[in-house]
Amino acid sequence: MGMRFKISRRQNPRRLHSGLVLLAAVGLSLVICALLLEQQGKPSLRGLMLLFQGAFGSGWALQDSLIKAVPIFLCSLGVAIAFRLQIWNIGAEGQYALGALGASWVALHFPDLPWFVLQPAMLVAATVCGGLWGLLPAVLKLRMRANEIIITLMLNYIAIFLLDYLVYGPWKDPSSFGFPMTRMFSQNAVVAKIGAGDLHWGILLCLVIGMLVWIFLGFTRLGYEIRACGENVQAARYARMPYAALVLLVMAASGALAGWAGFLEASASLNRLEPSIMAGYGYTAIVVAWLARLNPLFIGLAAFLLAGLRVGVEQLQLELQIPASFGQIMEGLILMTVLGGSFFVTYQIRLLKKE
Amino acid sequence: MSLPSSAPAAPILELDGISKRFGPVVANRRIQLKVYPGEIHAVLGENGAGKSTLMSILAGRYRPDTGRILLDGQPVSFASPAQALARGIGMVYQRFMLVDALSVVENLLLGHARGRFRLDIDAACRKIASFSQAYGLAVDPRKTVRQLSMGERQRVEILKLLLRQARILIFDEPTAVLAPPEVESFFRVLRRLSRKGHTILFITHKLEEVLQMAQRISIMRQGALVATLTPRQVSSRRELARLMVGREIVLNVHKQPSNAGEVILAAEGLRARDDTGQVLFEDIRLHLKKGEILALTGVAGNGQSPLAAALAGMPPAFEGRITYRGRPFENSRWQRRPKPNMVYIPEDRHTTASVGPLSLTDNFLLTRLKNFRRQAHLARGRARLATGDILTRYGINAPAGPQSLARQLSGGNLQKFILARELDRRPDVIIAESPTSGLDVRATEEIWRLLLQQREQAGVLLVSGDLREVLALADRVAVMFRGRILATLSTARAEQVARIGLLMAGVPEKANRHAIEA
Repeated sequence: MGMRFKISRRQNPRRLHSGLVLLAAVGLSLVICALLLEQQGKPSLRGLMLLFQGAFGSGWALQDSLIKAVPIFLCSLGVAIAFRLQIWNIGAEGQYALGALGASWVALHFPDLPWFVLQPAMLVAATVCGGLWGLLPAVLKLRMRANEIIITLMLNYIAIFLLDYLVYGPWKDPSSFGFPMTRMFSQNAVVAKIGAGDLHWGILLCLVIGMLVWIFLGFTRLGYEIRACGENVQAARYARMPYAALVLLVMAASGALAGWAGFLEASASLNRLEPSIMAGYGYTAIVVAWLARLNPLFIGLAAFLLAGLRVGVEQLQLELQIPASFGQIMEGLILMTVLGGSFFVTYQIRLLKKE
Repeated sequence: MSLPSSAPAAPILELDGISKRFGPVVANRRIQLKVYPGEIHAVLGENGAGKSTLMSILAGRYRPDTGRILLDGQPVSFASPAQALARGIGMVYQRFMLVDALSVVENLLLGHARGRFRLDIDAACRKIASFSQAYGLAVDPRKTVRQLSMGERQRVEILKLLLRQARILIFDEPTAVLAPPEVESFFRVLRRLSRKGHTILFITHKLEEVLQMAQRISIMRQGALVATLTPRQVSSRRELARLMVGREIVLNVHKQPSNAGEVILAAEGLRARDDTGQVLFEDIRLHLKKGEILALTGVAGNGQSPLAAALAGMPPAFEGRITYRGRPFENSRWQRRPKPNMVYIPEDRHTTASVGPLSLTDNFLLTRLKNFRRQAHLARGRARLATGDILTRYGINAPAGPQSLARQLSGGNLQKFILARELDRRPDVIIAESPTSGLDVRATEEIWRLLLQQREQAGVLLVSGDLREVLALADRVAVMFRGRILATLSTARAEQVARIGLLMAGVPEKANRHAIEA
């Protein structure tokens, strides 16, 4: 008579299958975007084409996407490490801000150091500031059982206010005509470009750290312990794994990586600290980490795609007068369809005919 | 006492040939049971006898595989607890189903305030007050559940059922969580409910309660209903205990007499409390010799589990002293000390001893990490070979070898894998908790054989409430009741074996109060 569904857990989730689900999810989000464009009275197919061209259609576009992918990649790598332990670090945004602050402080106070001293010092400052901003919620979680999602989220606002305070106040460039920004960094504090193009050496840093994190998570004792603890804390306690130490470790690493993103963005892209540095990379990083299923290699790919989305939407804005928030809507749609799709990876649905 | 069974009344509820399996485990086998209106009916049995399953079937939580339920003579079938409750059958589970952060009245309105837009808390409070009054269920409707004692929470659960007009109330181990004075007031409530025409079914393993409260007693053993009696037909507690525990003991494994050596693990004056200050175990003195299997037995919840964990160096923290290979340890030093030659097999094989979504290799590494790393590097390749090796040697059936996920294994294979992982370390002390619970006969036998083999080079502490298992394996049995070891008996002597069941049920011994050190 009627139809019934039976939902059961898949016994052997297949790689290929989960790849197809991922593609279908991204496809579905594009279809919804097209419908949204249509509903605005804009040509939907041309819109998607423009988006694609704007992101990957030319050498200039590719370069721009790649540059924007750098901070997203580093932040995402960081949150992925924390997510592996099932510590929900939503605070990459704030840790990124603190990293930028730390690096800027060094750049503004020691502008005359040679580049090979100054830039490593900036990197260390970004590591320490971002790392400590990540450690704080970890300590609160372990000591007072505070929820890390809420704490990391709130710390984002504190970090942004701190950054605003500095660039509107003590660090403001006296010759900026009242604009909230610091002085330009000295040439020694700016990460150099590779050859004649716009790409900077930060890309290389990303490649190296990406490989290292991949090795760390997959082939070391600590990487294994993070995974095992993340899947099942109870079993980890039984196996006497150091859960508290792992929480501190992943949050410090997570914060430090976001801090590096802040350093590179301030140094290589803006050459100074200003409020526009807060472009939401820390939140995009969460989408990227999920898209990539916390795998460092896929994070590189997903970071590039979502950076491309940002660049492409700028194009769309110019050509079709689409509001800037359209990019955020797309980002949100992708995350939602991918999360929804993961249901079909873990479970299967069968139709039962009822007699 | 009036006996409803002598009255010509028709049964309000009848179970006709109810059977229920969970995978290979038969939880209920062709149960026939009649329950009469207004009676207090006890369902007595050991852990795992199938009582809770049977009651959950009645309450609509499970569906029987075969058989019929007749309510007022009409066959009924419940797809959910809500449907059972709509027909007047409600159950109070051992773990209360209340929202701690909400008030009593809010809990009682949950799922009950449908159809009305305005939530009239005052009217609900008045209604609750009148019910409380009528049934003697004193509880302040405005209090938050978190502030309530266990007894008060239980009253809220009863009110929840009464507000939904339940006629048949089922209780799962209702006194397990109550302090002694609360037990008395709970019994008064039961009698009042019965006088007002409600039918009561309660699950228990406590003999005294049964004789004190029940008008009829049904006894379950290994999934079957073995007898239904009135208290008058029971000549003694001893007889009730015998019916509950059973006499027939099947020995599937051949056990050589033990060849016990030196004491390897000993405990003196051990005592621990839980977070709320309740005593978990106290006054514990025991010793385990190399070459023997010592069983720690008792009905679940009498302290065996926390004691085993403490002996294995896990929480809870204890006072007193543990001696291992002749060296004494206090709690903090014991918990911190790595114990490479001591293995602990916890009861919960799915979420404590293994990680379901990880491969068997990764699960193997869970406790064997030390053998497979060089500085920071993890020798996963070598671990995979070692995992493959134990899979073959122990005959573990894994669909994709070492790469299979732990959750893909059947319960028996997973348990064999966990044992293999631990035994492969050649331990000198093995603490195994309910190692065969939920396993089928074949897997049980294989686990038993593995443990018996270990007796050659190790001391085995077997924590089990399954008497069949205890008698099949153990050389000595320590019986725990309410956190204490009542006696340590030898399984080689029939007159001592006969006392185990009674001791488990907490029946005080009159004749011989001295613990026998075998």
